[in-house]
Amino acid sequence: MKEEKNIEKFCKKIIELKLTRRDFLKSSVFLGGSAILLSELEKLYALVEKVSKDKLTTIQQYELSKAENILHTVCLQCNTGCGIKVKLFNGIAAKIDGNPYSPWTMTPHINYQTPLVESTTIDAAICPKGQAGVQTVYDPYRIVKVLKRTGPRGSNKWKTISFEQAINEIVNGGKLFADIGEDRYIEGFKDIWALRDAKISKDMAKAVKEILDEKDKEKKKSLVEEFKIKFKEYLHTLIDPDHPDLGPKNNQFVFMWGRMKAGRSDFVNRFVKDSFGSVNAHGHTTVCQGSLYFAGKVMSYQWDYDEKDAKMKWTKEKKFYWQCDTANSEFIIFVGASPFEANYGPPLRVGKITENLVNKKLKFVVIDPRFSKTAAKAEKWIPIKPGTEAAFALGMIRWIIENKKYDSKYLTNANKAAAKEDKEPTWCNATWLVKIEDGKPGRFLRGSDIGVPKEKRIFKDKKTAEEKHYDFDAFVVLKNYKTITFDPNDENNPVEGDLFVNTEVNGIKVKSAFQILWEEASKNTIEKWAKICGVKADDIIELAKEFTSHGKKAAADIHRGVSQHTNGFYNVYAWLTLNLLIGNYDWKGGMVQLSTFNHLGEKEGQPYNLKKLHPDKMTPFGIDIIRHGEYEKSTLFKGYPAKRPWYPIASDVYQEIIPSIGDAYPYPVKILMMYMAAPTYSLPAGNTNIDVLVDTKKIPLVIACDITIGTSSMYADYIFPDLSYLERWEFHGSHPSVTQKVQPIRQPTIAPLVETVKVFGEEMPICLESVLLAIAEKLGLKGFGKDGFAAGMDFKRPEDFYLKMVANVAYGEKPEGKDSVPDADLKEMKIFYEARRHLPKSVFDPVKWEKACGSEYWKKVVYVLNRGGRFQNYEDAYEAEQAKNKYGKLINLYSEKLAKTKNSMTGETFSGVATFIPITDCLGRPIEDEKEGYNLNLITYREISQCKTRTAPNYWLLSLLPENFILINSQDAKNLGLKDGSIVKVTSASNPDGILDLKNGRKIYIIGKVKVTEGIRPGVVAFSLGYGNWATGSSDYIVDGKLIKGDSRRGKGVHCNPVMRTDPYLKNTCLVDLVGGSVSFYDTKVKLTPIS
Amino acid sequence: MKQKIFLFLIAISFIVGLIGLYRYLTIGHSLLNLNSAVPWGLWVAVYIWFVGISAGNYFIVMFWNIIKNKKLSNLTTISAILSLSTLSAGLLSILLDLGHIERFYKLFISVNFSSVMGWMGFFYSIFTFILLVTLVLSFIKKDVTTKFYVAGIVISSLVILVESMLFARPPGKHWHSIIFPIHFFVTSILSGTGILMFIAGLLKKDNTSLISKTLLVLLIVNLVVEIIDIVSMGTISNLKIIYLLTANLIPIILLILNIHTLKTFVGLFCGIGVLATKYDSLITAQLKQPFKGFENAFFEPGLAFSYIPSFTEWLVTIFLISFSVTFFYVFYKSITSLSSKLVR
Amino acid sequence: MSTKIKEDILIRMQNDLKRALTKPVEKRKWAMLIDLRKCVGCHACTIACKAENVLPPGVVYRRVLEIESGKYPDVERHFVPVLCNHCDKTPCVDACPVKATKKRVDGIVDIDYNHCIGCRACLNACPYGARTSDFGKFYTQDTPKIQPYELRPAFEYQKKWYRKKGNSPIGNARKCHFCLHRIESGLLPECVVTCIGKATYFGDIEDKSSLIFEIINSNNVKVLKEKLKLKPRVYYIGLKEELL
Repeated sequence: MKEEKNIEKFCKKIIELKLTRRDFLKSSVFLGGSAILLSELEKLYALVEKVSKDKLTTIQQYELSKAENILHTVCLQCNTGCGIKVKLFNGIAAKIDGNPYSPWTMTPHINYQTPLVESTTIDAAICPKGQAGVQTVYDPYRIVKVLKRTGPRGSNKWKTISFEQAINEIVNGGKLFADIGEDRYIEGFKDIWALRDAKISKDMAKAVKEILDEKDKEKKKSLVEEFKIKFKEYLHTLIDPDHPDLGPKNNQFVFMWGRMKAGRSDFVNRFVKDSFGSVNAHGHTTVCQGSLYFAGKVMSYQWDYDEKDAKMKWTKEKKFYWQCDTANSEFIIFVGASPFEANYGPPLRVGKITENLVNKKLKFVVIDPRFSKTAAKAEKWIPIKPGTEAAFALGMIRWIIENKKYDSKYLTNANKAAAKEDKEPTWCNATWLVKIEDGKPGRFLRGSDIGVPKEKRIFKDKKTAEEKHYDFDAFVVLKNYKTITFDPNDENNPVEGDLFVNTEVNGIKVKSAFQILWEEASKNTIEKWAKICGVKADDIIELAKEFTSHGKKAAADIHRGVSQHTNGFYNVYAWLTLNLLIGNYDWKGGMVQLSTFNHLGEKEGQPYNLKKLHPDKMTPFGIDIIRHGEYEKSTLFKGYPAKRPWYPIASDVYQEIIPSIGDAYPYPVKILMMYMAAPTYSLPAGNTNIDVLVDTKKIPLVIACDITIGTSSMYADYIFPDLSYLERWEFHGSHPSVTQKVQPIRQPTIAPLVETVKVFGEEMPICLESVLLAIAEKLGLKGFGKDGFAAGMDFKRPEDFYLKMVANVAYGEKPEGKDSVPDADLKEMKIFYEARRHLPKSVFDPVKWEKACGSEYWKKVVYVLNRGGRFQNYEDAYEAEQAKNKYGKLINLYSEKLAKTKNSMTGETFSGVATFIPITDCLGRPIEDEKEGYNLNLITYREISQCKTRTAPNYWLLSLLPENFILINSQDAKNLGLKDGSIVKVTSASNPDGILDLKNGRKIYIIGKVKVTEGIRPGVVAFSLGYGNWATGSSDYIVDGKLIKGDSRRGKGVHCNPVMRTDPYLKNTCLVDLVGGSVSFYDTKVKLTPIS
Repeated sequence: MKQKIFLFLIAISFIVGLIGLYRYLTIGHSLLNLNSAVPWGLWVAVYIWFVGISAGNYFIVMFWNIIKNKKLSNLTTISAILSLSTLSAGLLSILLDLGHIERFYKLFISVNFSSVMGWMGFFYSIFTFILLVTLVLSFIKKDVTTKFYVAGIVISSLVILVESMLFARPPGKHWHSIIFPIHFFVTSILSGTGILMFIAGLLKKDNTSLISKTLLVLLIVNLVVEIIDIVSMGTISNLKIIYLLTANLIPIILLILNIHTLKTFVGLFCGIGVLATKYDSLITAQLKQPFKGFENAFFEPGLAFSYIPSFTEWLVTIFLISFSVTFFYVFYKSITSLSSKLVR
Repeated sequence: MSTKIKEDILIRMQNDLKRALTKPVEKRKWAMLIDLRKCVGCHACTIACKAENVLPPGVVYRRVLEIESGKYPDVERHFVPVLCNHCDKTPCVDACPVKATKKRVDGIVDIDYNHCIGCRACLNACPYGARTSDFGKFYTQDTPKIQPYELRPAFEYQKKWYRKKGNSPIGNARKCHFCLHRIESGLLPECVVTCIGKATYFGDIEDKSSLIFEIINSNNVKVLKEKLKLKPRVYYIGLKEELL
């Protein structure tokens, strides 16, 4: 008991005396005078050395393995987000290793309830980027003070200004750059925060929805007139009163982000949407693997009652996708995916694959034009022709159907009851009948079509006990020539149907969805499909055979190689449909989905429902800048093609944001804020964004929040420094191949290296949160500051938001806290305080932390933070032979929603089933650059030691490969007279001179060194991302008149994105996939011209 | 007049060398191209060259003493002084090459006899002792039994052998064949004889014709050894080609033609030429990578298998040479003036 | 029934390590095994070792060779980590003139930084290129400011080494020591823990119940440059030396 006593005394002492000594980092004035860099570390060096001169006696435990020197958090050197432990030495992040509690780093990871002290000597596995994370955090080129440009945009001339001055200028606007000769008035946030009344925004949103849903042209016009009368005193707040569906002026503030995870994205959405009232908060999904996410979304639509619209519709869809349950699979086909180098997680997937490879439990094949490191260990490497991935899948589908190797028991189930009967967690609509309207499969056949009346149903609202009447129109299958109507979600009477149906019912031409799929797959013979893919027919047959001889324990695992084409969506749809044929969804070793502990508190009983904790939520309305909506419904509809594509299915369309602003379509934008974003570098033909960014007429105010002056933030008017991933909060979420329910939590582990400021009277470091809080304070936005959440519940510090989320995660998802984590015992409380002894008050104040999450949850929050998040134990993710965290619903083999959606450029409807379409531009016209001599297909890949520009400061990683090269097959090299090390210029039809014009006087020629290899398909050339970086510390710049020399190591190698094909119709944007929104990374044809 | 130019030249090179040395001692390794892939660079080559001259010329003089060639025996004093000056310059160059110069004394106290460098300290102390004894004996003009000369020959050949063994021990970057010690032996004696001839010529000793005959023999033997070496190794670096053409063939021709005036400079030319061949053998042997693709596994300064001496390394080499010449000049001047005073 | 997945090899090896630490040091015989069938050439070991021991530019203890062979489309890629083999017969120890490096009783070949004079004879003596010399460079020396991760001390041989001008380990030869400072505190070496392919095994091969012993005895293991007969203590499964 005595020990308990003094631990308690210790904790109290820590709380009272919390850090009265001044925070030693604050004393080193980071930005004395002009040096805006991390320059005042001399004192830190002296401190580091002074504190511990003594020799480490052998019996003394290794200092970096003691609990009080270790903090758990989440890596962000790429999007995998492995759990890491940061080992601290005198407040410095000295060493990073894997967090054994996290399923990312060990298989299985240690039990979640392992006492903290037992975990300190267990270091787990992370990749080379994770190991080099300290070089991103302690980057000599990190900016630590607010910068304002003193020359034209992109000229890299800056001056440091105070945080308060910067906030004041961007909120109040004015002639901000008059001192450098730009005599133009800039509208600040206060000018474009036009619509401020939440009630009005709600009513307007409702009215606009009616206008959009009105099909009749004339009625639509009259509704607009009605709108203008009803809201006449608010018309001045609209962008264009004649087009209310463009929404209020608030929408002219666009927030775009590169790498942002949950927590911060909720913070941004609260600021942009709930408080400021703009619809424009956009991520970057389409540059990564948009079409993969949105194919998953299309397949996840359920026909169910929608409370908002009070009717049955395709709803409850999710933006997600599936991956293979790597540790338990017997046969995997990796298509356009390389888990040993990228693909959400070498540490997460490699150990599971190599372990089973060696004990002969797993065989896997790699389909990829490049002989990747994954292919090096594969049973077979199939070098496919880029852009033909769907043809390969359809070839396999054809063989499987012809030889009846599909799981007919699974496929014939038409509804939930039938699935339950067969103990199948999911079911698909293979047997549902589809109406053939003028030769093309359209909507599903309904009961009302064949005389079965619609069923009247009542929806009882639990909270308001209000009853809503709606009617349900059943779906139809054919069973032994008899039609059966059914409800897909009916759990009692199972319904099964025939797979092959091609007949007429009540005079209506119908086919079963499976029949439609068969007709797609049988369009070509397997030999023809093989010819399209440039592979051997036997490969397709052999793979199809193997794929169907492991029951549920086989999977086709796909990634960017499949989705990042102009036909990416249907490539993905084909491969996910192939998995449907063996019904492996939610099965161990089959296709599984991610699952995370809800951090927003939406589950019953969770402490803080952050969606509701807002005093007066705005209802943002109007079409967003990337036009995620239906063109036909909008008041801008003027026939086909639209000025720029609309995306009814895809959101976060990264390649549209800046070019759309450039074209002011659908409307001009006044303020652009970029967070951790590098569109000019990461987008194919990203350089087209530069032309818009430098034009002050097109975007009057550009604000960036970044940790260095990056390839895109260099074009901003203001750059606010941010905290690195070791200094801030985030809820990293998970990835499909992690079957456990998890929530990895990123938390501050070192004192912030940026300047400290005061917002809402609170001291905090400059970062994304403090910028948004400061703007909210100046504008008086609701939802922040005093009573920001509710009466008596302030929102003045980032932790007020984030610690409530940790409380939700700690509480769990079952009522009465049945699923919550245990309380941290006194020992763990002591470690919690001790391990944070180096964190200054601006970041860690235990009194405020406890208040933010509520005392009753404090010990549970500490329990979770001590472990770097919450992770279900390995076995708890499986029950018998299935994954426990199930998708568990209908999977659309045929999508009615998609078949009804129109292509905004041609007016035709999309195909509702997987199909192969060739590479085209956005008007559907083929691209024939070969005719002009561009005959090498350019693709990209990732070395495991590089991400994009984020790893530029990692000198250790650059030692593995100082500069990248252009990979070319030995045959092609011989034909072009090239050998290892030859220098070539890369050009394409849309960039014939191979130039990247930075529009600041500097031009970069796209020139690289050749590496001759046998490991790539002839006709294909590749380069790895992360090189050819023209900023992030590799170029010089002037701050407060002082020249800061760049470090040339960080700019070596070649980056060929500027040469990637732009769309002939759009001109200022790359080739795009109109359905899934993906950018095309792999459809550019280039020419390599040798340079002496 | 010749001496004036000679002194002026030495002073200039001494100062230039000192600048390089000062910069190196203050700024440190960043000025050098020393690296881990090719651990031993120019200064080690200079070291084996100096020690080669020191032991080589003493060997040849002792050899002449044994065969009672009076004409050459009077060179003993000069040879002893030359040996001492070049040996000390050699040790100095190896010291400068050390990572921790201040710990050089450990070479002489905690000696590891399984290490060739360990023997080095031991043998060089004995050799220095012998040299001092030779000086004293020749100073007091005492005639000495041949046993002493034999001891001299043994010690000096052991010194050369130890030096060559430094690079011939397997299994590390072992040198290509057993030819290597022989090549080392011949070139050491060749350089010793060459420098001796040059000094003898400078100091107007009239026995240069005999030395040049020995030099000629050595040059021819060396040519043979070099050719065998090249044949056995199968490859030849261009530095070796230049060396063979200039510092080997041309001296042979000149000696055969027996042009008096050039004779002294031929000695110097051969002496310096040997540095090139020793440097070449030393560096090319270290360029062999332990594994294929070893160099491409990690790219950092000091890990690439290539080496070019940096500017500072050359400056310090100039310093070392001028140091040994000054050491010789001062020592020789003081010995001769002391002996003339005694005679009076 | 869901087959209970066995524990991660790191836990098993950690227990083997703790068991070995109970034995007196001379009874332990540390060795490493690398299963090349599981090495995916990710280089995490190289970088983790750099980070753990604060290795400056030009000093590296473990590198991964990447070799491509074969003709399209029958291509092969091989990844081979190479490091100090802590041989039983040590040419490097023999080459050191001042006895600054020795073969410890537990098999690890270490360097006494305070004794090494930096003559680099051992670099030439090692046939595996496993030793490099610290010439006092820093990664961020030519940038605006040298960073803390290069200023913090390394904990090699259980001492704190600050890389200040003139102080060891600057000027010394440096090499892999199987993370002796970690082993003595019950932690596995850095390259073992961060190996994402679970290809690197470590332990006391005297202990018959250890995982490394079990695997070495159930596979045909090879060593690099066997013909030199130095009896290395780093074993390989799936080694194709003809490619090297």
